[in-house]
Amino acid sequence: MDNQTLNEAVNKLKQGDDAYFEVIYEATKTKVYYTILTIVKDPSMAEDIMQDTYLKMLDSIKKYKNKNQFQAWLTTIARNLAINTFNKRKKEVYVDEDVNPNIFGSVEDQSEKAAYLREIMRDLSHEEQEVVIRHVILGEKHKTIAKALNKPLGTITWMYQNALKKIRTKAGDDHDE
Amino acid sequence: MMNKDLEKIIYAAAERDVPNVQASIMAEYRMKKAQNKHRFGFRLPLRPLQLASMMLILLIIGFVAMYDHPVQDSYATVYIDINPSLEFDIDEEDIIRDARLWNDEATLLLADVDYMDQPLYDVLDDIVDQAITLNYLNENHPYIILDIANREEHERINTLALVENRMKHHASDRVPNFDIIRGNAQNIQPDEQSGAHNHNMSMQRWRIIQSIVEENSDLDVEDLIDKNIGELMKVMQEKNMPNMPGMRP
Repeated sequence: MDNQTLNEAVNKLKQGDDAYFEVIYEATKTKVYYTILTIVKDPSMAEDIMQDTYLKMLDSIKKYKNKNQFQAWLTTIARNLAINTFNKRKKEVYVDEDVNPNIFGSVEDQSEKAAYLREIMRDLSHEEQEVVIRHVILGEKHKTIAKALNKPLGTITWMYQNALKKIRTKAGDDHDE
Repeated sequence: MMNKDLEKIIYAAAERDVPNVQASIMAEYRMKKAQNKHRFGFRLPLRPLQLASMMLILLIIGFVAMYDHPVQDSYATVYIDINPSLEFDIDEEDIIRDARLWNDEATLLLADVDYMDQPLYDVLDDIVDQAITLNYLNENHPYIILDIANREEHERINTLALVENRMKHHASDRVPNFDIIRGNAQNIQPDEQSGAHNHNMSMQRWRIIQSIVEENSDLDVEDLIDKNIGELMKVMQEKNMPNMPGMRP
């Protein structure tokens, strides 16, 4: 969906026409969900936070006035909620930050969640998965990812190419079968 | 297969995996809306005489509250501007009793901060954390404008010093060049206040913008309204304006 259509839907929603929520949700859901998932690394929790994000958006849409930046505004709300929830959880439950958890959560209890993407990225390391999600789905540049993951730019570029190579090989194998 | 094609496949798979929570969001939102309507949008099955008596009672209560409630006047106001622009009214114990959020950024900044009836100092810690998280504060934008009005001068200076020490200590490990610019909030004029609020910003930021515009005919308010504090300071340096207007070091 182009930015103009999204802005029109946002304006309609601001005026109280709830029917446009569906349009906005469809246009923004992917970035919102994966922004949250890369932070909390738990699909069930990400789903809850996603709901909270849209509820918060609906509550404060009347105050929103930055033209053309709706997706960025919504993503900021999502990121903010995700960080707060994650920090709260860290206070309640011990989380070992040295262990880099799978972005899709533990395999046992999340088998039905994120099934398509997990299947495609099955052969990738956790870090490669995160690099691919950030670049392809969230549209982040390699430079931004390098800063966020605290790694050299060259490493991120290499990891991304390597990840695509693995996915390509797997796609070829699946095709052969 | 080209990289672009692979990226399309990955994106499509990701899109299919997004949980469909649209209906439950809308249901919850409508329920909340209905509850609010139920709470506030009551109908009045009253006869005119009953209605008139009710209005009279409300009017009397209003007058009594207005003349018999000097507490509001004793509240001091804390002005904070990090681009999010906001004001807190604090009581003598430095507990936040009211807040005014002047722009979307302020709403976002405080979205998950529990500030009402909380100690100012604790809330400022949370504000610094959120401002860093949301990237309003970083090494390139390390400034906060801060001031307190409506308090005895020596108390005001003491409170400011406490606030500054606390915030600097809290922010310094993540924003080493973090600094606070003190405003001059004691001399606020009513027209300044309305100008600031009409433009959804704090008094101090409005003063800086006004001073730049007054001294530079090639700039108007609209050119400066979206600039953050660091950028405004840069404009002042470029225009050879020596000091922050209305500011104290």
